[in-house]
Amino acid sequence: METSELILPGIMIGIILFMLVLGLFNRVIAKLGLRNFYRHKGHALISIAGLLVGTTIICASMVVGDSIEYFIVEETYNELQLVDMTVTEDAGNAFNASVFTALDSNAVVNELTDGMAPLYAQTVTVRHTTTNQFEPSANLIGFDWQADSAFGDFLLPNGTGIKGNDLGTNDTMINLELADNLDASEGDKILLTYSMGGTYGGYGVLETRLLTIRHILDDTGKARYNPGMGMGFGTYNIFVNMETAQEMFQQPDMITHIKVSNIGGIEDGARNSDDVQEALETAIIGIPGAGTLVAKAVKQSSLDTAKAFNDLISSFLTIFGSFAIIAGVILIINIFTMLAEERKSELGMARAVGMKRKHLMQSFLFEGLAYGAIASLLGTMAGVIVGGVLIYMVNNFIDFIDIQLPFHFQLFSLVSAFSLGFIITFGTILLTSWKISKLNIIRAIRGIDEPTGQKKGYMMLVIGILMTLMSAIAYFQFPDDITVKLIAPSGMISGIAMILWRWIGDRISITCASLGVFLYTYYAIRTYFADADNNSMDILFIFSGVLIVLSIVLLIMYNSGPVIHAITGSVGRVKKWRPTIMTAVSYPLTKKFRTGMSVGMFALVIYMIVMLSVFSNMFVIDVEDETLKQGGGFDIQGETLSPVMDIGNISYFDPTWNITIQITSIALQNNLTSYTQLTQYYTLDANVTDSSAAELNFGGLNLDEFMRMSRIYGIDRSFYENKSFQFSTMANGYETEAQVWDAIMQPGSTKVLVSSMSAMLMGAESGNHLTMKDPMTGNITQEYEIIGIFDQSIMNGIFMSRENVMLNFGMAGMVNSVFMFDVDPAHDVKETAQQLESDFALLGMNTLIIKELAETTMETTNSIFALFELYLDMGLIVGVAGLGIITIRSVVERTPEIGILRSLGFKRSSVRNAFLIEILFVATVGVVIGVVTGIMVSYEIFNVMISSMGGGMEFSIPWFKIGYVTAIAYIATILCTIIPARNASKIAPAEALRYVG
Amino acid sequence: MNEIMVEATNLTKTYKTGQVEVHALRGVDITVRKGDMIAIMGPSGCGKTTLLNLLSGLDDVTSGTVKIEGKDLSQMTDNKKTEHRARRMGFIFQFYNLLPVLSAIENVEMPLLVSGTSAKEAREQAIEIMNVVGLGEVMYSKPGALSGGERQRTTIARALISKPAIIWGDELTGDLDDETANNIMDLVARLRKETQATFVIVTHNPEVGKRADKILYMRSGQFVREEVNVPPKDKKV
Repeated sequence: METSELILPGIMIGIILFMLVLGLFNRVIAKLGLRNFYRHKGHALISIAGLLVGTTIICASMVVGDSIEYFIVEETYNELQLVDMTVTEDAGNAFNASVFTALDSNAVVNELTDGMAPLYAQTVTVRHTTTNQFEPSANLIGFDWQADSAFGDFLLPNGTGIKGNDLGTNDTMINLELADNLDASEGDKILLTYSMGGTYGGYGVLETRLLTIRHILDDTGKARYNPGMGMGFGTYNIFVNMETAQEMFQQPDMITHIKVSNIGGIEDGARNSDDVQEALETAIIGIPGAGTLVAKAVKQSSLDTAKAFNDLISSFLTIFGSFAIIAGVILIINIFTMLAEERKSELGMARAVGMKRKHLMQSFLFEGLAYGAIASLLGTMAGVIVGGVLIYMVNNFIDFIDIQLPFHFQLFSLVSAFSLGFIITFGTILLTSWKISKLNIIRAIRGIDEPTGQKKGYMMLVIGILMTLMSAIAYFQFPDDITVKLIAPSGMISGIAMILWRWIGDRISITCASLGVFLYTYYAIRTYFADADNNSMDILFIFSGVLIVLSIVLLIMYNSGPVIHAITGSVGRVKKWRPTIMTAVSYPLTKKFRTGMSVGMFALVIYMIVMLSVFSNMFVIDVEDETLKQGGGFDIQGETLSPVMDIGNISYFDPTWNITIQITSIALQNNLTSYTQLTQYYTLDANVTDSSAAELNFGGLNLDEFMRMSRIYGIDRSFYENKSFQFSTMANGYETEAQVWDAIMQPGSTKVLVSSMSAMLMGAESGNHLTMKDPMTGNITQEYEIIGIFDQSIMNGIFMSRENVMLNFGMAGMVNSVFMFDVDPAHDVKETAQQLESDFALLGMNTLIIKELAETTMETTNSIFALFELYLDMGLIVGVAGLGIITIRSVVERTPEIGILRSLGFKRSSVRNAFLIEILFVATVGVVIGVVTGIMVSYEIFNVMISSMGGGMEFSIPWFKIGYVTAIAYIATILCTIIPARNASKIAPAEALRYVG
Repeated sequence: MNEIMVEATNLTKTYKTGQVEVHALRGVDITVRKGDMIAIMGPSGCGKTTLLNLLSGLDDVTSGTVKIEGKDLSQMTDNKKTEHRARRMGFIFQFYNLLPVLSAIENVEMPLLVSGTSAKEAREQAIEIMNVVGLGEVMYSKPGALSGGERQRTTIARALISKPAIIWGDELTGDLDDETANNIMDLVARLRKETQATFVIVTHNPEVGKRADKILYMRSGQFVREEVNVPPKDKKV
């Protein structure tokens, strides 16, 4: 736990202690405040329901983050066990085993470590010789049992530990998960097929090795160690003697990994990673020929990733829910403002009999303490449930995630969520009670409204001057900070309006300020969002939304005359409705602050939901279009573990029968109209030399390792001729797609394509240039020009012609491991894909049906957006609960007026309708502002950020979705307000007239 | 003999507050004829306002009957009573009880709108009566911006705008200074003469009582005395 993490609980405890001490010295005030809390239990309950949503969102975000962190941490410990560090070659090549000997005998390293062992690991395809079950990709791990003993024993399913020292040259141990997949038992034989990276499969001949399963290992302990770190995805390990592995791949005395155990156990070993890494790196420098070796703190790095993921997901969800949290804050202000209004005369009396302002404030704070504590506690509990629901949905409704997240949370996260929720609630109440305490005693006792339009005191002038100055200083001090650029001018506009308030009055100053802030923020969205980096995007997103929505709310509230006129002049033309509508509309537009708060609360929630709906609508996928986009007209993509020269001409030696067998593919001969083969090569450190795009930042996640490696695809003309692949952008000078293809196919061409995903990760655009590092030679390549962004995502990397791959990277361009198949319409695509996998099982072929991918993408996109929408809908609870509370309070506060209306001839139904129309009017203004601003801002964000991403995305407004969200909001609002409105109508007129609060 | 406007027989009203029963009215009989101005006087808590509320149908009786223009209120549904109130009654309250969010003229035109008069017609009549009560200059102001006297004039205008048969007044000068109260009562007297409406007024103020045709004195929920005033009824308070 870091010190900074203690700040929130510290503040929370500080507040509680302060209030306790205050309560001891002012018992009467404390009692008064706490009694007020449970004065109207029903009202308090509803208020708490509205207040707890903010904490719920915060807590749910933390629970999801915790669960993800827990999952990664557990997987890390399970997979790595005692392995804390690894030493590998930079590009993943094998290196001389003498490095291990040198490191193992290094005194400094030895002092810090308690185990070190060499491994020779490669990927192979495995098939059971009798059940014929196969696994296209498994880890072959050659190990030295003596050195490996330092990492503990292998465990058999019955718990017995073995060292693996009884394996013969053709013996193996496999883990239980692989054995289950192959339907294998001890004594069975498995056939490994593989090609050797150095010789490219002998240009078509696969290598094979027949092994006898000596032991099946339990999936715990060392048997889970995955040299490639699978993270929850199947780990299939085949352990053999070191010599067997080296001999299979014809690399005697070579190893691919050295695994290192730091002093300490599974969990505490990682703590010394920095020291061990330094020692290893120093030692490596002293070993001749070991310059390309790197020591990695794999366990610590994985644990850091887990923590970063937790922070990233938690903050992402919190930011996503921030509008609901802000709505919750507004609700708190509203609740307490209404409480104060309701108790106005008693507060006035209290002041009249000698209670000081600070006492009033304190009594509200004690009441707020009760609200804050209970709402935060319940919110934390609700957050745990919501977090559980989100995890359940991720596990069950998002298909592409092939893992099951555990439901897990840290107690400290709950404390943090509680603390944050409590501080937000209490802080808001503190400010509100300060405002409330400034009441005028006489006006309060006599129930007279505060006069409007009065000249403000010097306080407003001083605040205005300070705000203007501070905003101006911030603006000129940090001219490059986009957040400052967004907020500071709005601060200046508001400050100037506050200065001028004395002379031009509240209506003009607020109108000018809100219009100014709205226009400027809108301009800022259009201007600055394109340049925003990931770090400032969330802040920009929240602030711009809040400024846009609240400025419009203020503008309307302070210019309500035309609104009333429009409503009474239209709907109010119906004689029967006019008095009801007049009353219903006049109340909210007269109480500007309260109504503005309610409208703002509702509008913010709707704004966020509308934006999400608009964006989710943009990402709606048409399966046919997506299939064509991804496959260009091909139906199936196949990828083999072992690269081959020509998939139509492969033979291998089968040691079971002692003969060479030619693979005959039925699917290849009968089911296809055409196919094309792509070579695939890996390069390191692809660097866009003239990128102008902002650097991608994924929170605290370190994706350097992931980003280092880029694929290069070498294509033939058959890849694109008569096909419909698309480019999202093309470099200047290229008018047609054919020109682009021609340019990259020219012999010796330095023009390349980059897939859209790779372009985004690299920050590349059409017309940019890039260099790469050849992993075989370590040389930096020449500069290539990116002349098109290839709009598909099933092959991510850099595309050039096969000839140019060979020219630049040597023989790697001769072999193929990616295949695109065009299925004859007379054959079923799915059956063909299965047949291809079966025919080329020995190559480890995995197929992808492109239409299925499009369908899965569509379902996944829909699921993710549905998940977010569900999450955001919690904001609606705040909005609707808020309106319910407002109605209840309004009924109480306006009871005498109900009496007047009834005496004037308002029927019960008219009174009920007046309340309902009033609240629906507030909701409608909120909905209209939320929908209009949501659409406007999302349109601008689309223009400046999304339209350039390609993919043929178009801006369209999901009216149906917006319609049903609005309908749900209305129905919930009516359900929430019908009871208090009905109660209002039932009050006897005489009783209402008698009511004194 | 004028026809009977209000006839109440053996009215009782009991309030229950927890276990405590308060007998606000204990068998009151009253008859008010058309065009009369009746003042009901008595100490605080004697049941004056309760009686007014029962007679006007704002509250339900515990027992007894109230007939307004021959119609038994207890036989009417709430909606019928409300409609009757809107068309045939006007109310003037001590604390004005204007709707604070509506302008003075909007307050005044409200009874007409409730009765189904068109907005245009209601506004015309409201302007007319606002001028009659002397509020032509401030008719578009909100009640918060009006003085006590202006507010009470607005209330009177609101009570009279629908040309009701009977007007109920509850301490209509209770919140005003003597001079303003005098002016208000002058206005009431003038309007009474013009409209021939029936007035039933609850008051503490003997001077207001003297403006009525008859004063009924109450104590502990019963009438204890009756005093008939001789004209001139419009002498100064």
